[in-house]
Amino acid sequence: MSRNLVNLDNVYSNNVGTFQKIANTVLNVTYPDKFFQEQFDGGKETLFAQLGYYGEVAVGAVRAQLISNKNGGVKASGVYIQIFAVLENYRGKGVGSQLLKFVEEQCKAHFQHNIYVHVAVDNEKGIQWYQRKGFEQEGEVLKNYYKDTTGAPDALILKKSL
Amino acid sequence: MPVTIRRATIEDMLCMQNANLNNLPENYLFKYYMYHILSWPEASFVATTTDDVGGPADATLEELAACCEGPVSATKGDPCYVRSGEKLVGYVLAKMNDDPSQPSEALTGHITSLSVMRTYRRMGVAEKLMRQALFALSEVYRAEQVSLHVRQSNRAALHLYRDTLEFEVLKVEKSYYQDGEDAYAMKKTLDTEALQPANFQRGAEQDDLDSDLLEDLVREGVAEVEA
Amino acid sequence: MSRRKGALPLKANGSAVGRSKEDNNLIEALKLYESKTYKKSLKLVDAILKKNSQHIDSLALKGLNLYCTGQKEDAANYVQKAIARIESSGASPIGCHILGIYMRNEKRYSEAAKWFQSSLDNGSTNKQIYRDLATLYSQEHDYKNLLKARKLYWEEFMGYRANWTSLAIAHELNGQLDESANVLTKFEELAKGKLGESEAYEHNECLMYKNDVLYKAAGADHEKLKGVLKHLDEIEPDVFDKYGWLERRAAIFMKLNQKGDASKIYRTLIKRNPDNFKYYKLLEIALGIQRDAKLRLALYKKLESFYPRAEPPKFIPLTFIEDNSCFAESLSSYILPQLKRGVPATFNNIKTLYKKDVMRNSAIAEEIVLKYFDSINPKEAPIPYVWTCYFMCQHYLYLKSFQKAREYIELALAHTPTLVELYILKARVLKHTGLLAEAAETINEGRKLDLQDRFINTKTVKYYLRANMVEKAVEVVSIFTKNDGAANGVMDLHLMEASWFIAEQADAYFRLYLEKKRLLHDEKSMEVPEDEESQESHARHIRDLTYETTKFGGLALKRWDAISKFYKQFEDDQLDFHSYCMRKGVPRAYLEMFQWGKTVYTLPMFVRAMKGAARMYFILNDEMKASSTTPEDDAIGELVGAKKGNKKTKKEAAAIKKRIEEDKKTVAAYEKDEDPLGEAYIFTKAPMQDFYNKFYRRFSEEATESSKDYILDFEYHIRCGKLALCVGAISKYADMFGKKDSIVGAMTLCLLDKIKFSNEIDEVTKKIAIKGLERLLSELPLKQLDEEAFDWLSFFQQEFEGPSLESLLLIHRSSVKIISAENIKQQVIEKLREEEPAVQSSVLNYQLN
Repeated sequence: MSRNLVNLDNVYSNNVGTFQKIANTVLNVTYPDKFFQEQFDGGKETLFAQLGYYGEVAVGAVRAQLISNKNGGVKASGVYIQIFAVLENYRGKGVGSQLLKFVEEQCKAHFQHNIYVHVAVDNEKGIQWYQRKGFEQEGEVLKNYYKDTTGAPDALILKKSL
Repeated sequence: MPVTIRRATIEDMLCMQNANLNNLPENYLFKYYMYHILSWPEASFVATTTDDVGGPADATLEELAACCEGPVSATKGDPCYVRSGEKLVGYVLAKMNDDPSQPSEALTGHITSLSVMRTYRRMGVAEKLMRQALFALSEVYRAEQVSLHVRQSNRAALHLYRDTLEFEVLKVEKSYYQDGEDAYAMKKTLDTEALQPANFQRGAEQDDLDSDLLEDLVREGVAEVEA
Repeated sequence: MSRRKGALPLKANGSAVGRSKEDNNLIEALKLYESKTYKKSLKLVDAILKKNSQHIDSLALKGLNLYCTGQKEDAANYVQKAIARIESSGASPIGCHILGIYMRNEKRYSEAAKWFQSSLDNGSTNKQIYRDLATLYSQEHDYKNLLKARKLYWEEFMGYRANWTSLAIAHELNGQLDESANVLTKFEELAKGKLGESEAYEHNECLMYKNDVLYKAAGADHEKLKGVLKHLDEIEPDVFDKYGWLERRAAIFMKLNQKGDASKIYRTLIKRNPDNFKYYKLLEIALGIQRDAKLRLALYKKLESFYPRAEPPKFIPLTFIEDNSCFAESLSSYILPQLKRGVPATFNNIKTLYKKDVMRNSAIAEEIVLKYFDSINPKEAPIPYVWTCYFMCQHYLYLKSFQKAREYIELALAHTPTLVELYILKARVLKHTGLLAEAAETINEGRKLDLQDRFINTKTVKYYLRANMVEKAVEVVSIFTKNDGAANGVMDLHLMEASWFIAEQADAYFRLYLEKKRLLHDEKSMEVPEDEESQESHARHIRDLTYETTKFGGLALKRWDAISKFYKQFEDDQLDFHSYCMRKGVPRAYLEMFQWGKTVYTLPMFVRAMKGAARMYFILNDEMKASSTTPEDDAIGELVGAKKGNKKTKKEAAAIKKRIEEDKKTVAAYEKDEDPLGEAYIFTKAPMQDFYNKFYRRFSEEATESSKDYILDFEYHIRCGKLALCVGAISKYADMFGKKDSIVGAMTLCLLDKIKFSNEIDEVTKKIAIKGLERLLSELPLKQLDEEAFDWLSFFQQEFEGPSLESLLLIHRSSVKIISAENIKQQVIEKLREEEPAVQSSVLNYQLN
């Protein structure tokens, strides 16, 4: 077999259900269908997503948004990770690293220098993982960042500069 | 019920049509299947489950033949069953290129359709079916090459054709499929000797087809079993 | 004008002498027909008919032209006129020929053959007719006439190999094997050295075909078989079909008792296709070691070393190893690598071992897999973990431990919720526990993970239909169909001959019909309420339920008939191949099709549709008999007719009319569907005749003694009052399953009931039936038939084995009077306790009411 065990592939409107299933299984926040369909609406070139496969099974999902200076919004320019999830039993196998690598490549391809991600304050494992990958805390804790969550409502902002 | 691979017959065609309708978006009328099996009767193969492997130990040849051709009636109306105990789980439908509008100097075979039921994947069924079909196209129909189309999004099929069966991608055909998806047009040059299915078994040894298998067995095999 | 008139005979040079202008115009019209300019041809024909309205050939040609332009009714009219003229004033060769073509287009093959033959009998010199005749006789399986036609055609056109091959086939079909071989040989001699490379394939097929004929002719005669072998050796360099060649060679060796030689050929075949189980079985027989487990095991070890990637050498030993620990070891090394690789079919692969000896084999498999399951960590080995859960779920499902099956599939889903197969399996578990709607929703959840996979789409549709959620099913199935212009994919599925969907939909409609009918019955048996408002709502309910009952009943019958039509099409599809295969030079494949063609109406999906339709037609028949009236309505639209009602009812009538129109759009099966709701089916005045014409005649003609269904046969004949045939069915069934089988008892009771209570059937028929029963079942207490007090139920229970659920249900649906309906119902409910929930609810919902 010439294929590696871990692979990434695009998300298509045909398998966005798988993407959604991973996100909603792993994350404490449940996103509505509309959120996932967004990336297939026209004019959303600023969203990029991938599915991570272990063997032939989809086990990881990432979606990030490009915020460039031109937008002139409140957020600093860079790439914001919106969804980052790997099924619990498939962690530690390099799927997350591949997904992150994808985000970093997108970041470079769009001439950006910073990657941002929000993590719930009680997600210790997650925070540690990002720190190992070179992320650092940025600014203050955001109070009540998550609305309909089953976990802690407060979030940290983590940032990685490339 | 393990899977057996055998040449397709007219009796398989309705099940083949059913499997195609169940698994794939490109479908054909029954007459098109008849056209295949009656124009190139040796080119298509099926994968079916087999239930009679535990038959009576002293079955005679006739009994065996009879149970291979048993009545089709006892299948409870499940369209997957060729006959009682024999469910069609995969097929390859192959032909020779006979399109007069595309005269080709080399005799060219074509894979019209291939599919394996999702619940019978990862057993190499598709590969085994393809190896038989390629061998037959080459040996029986003297095909010098074979062509096929594959959906661009079909990762598993692409892997099978390109990596395992060593097809080459000729070109991308834009909007080849009715739903607008592009196809890879693929091709493989055929060489009958190289296509012998046994070549792909990677066996520790080869059957020389001549030495007395039993005598051999009595000597080494049984000793080994007893040991 | 006059000039041209004079000029014609000169040009036509005598051939037109004696021919009238009419005939010349007709020949012109025929040419136009042949070039497919039907309208121009019609014009010319009309001109002839204007002058001579009784011109036979023109009447016939007008019919044919009309047929080809789609005006089938008018066509039939003119054809009738032509035939009537022929009957009164004699035939012409051209007229008969045209009628033959028309009949062939109409797929009335035996009539077509009759007209082609008349054309020849009336002096036609067109030799092509012989080929047309041969095609028709082939289609009709008329061997004798086929041989005649093939021979005459061959005599005319000997220059084509196809005609020699066809003649040989015709001889073979008539049992003239030597003649067949001679014809083939003669051609080979004539063609020697003259065949090009492009004919090499055809030549190979024909050589192998000749060997087939010789092999059949040889029977068990050793000398002849040696001749066949010699022939096989001679043709070897020219034969490309090596599988066929080798299989034949081995078969001859086996018959000659040269088993050693045969075994070597089976080894060659295995080398060519190491995944064909049949070759391994045959090798064992050739080696004569079928009873020697030790040798067999050693043989398969050896073969596995030759073919490590093949399935049979790994699997077959599992079917014969007796020693438990040896078996466990082999089973373990068969199962575990598959679980590790994540092979979904691991359990299916070994299911046949469960069937063989469920106690021993399932226990050993369970021990192996559970031990493995305990040894793996869900995080370190996620793929093996999830597929092991999947295996264990199937294992427990097989053993009907639904709770445990459920536990394992939930474990798997919690572990890997992105694996589509898990949803399919969970849905199956739910289905077996009778939770059909939950099952459908579960599998739909899996479908959403991969919208591109048609397999999961198909399964989802099937589950929705099983749960009677027809609309949802149609919505989902339409994702993969071509719906241009149509409301959904139903039309496309009819176009593409998707029997699976249509059969499932028919079943769903039938269940809905039964449900609505029950509700309608309940509503009707309610007391009519006092106040006006409740009265109105009561009436509205009755009307709505009446509509739904007839709609679903009509649709069920229409769908089953759609399947019957597919099979008629499959039969018709063969027509072109009777000459195509000869030109292609594939006599062996052709003969396989020919034999298959004789069994089309006994194939599983036709039989399934027939049995479904039988249930419905039997109900219609029984209801009609019970109320001793024929249905008054002949259209659903009658329901709307609230002509003299008040404003409100008029409004309601408009609403239901609108609903009917919308329904018609969503259920239409064909592009120009004149009866989308199947009203013509449900309002039939002769259900048994419909059943016979659409299904049972074709099935009966093709079914063999062993493929016949004698319960259905009985139920059909008893409703037709053919009691002697009922006795025949009982007797055949008893031959197959024994006289003590409870089905025999049930059929006998139904027949006795008919004899006792029917006043439609004459005494002679009844006496004959009684005689027949006496002969068949000597201990039958026929004297008790007039005794009101006799307990037939305990007689049935004591005298027959079981009784099986099936037999009780047969009595129940036959509404016998010699046993009380309530008692039978109790028996069924009692019996149901042994069944799984899915069966219980199906019987309770759809068979006990």
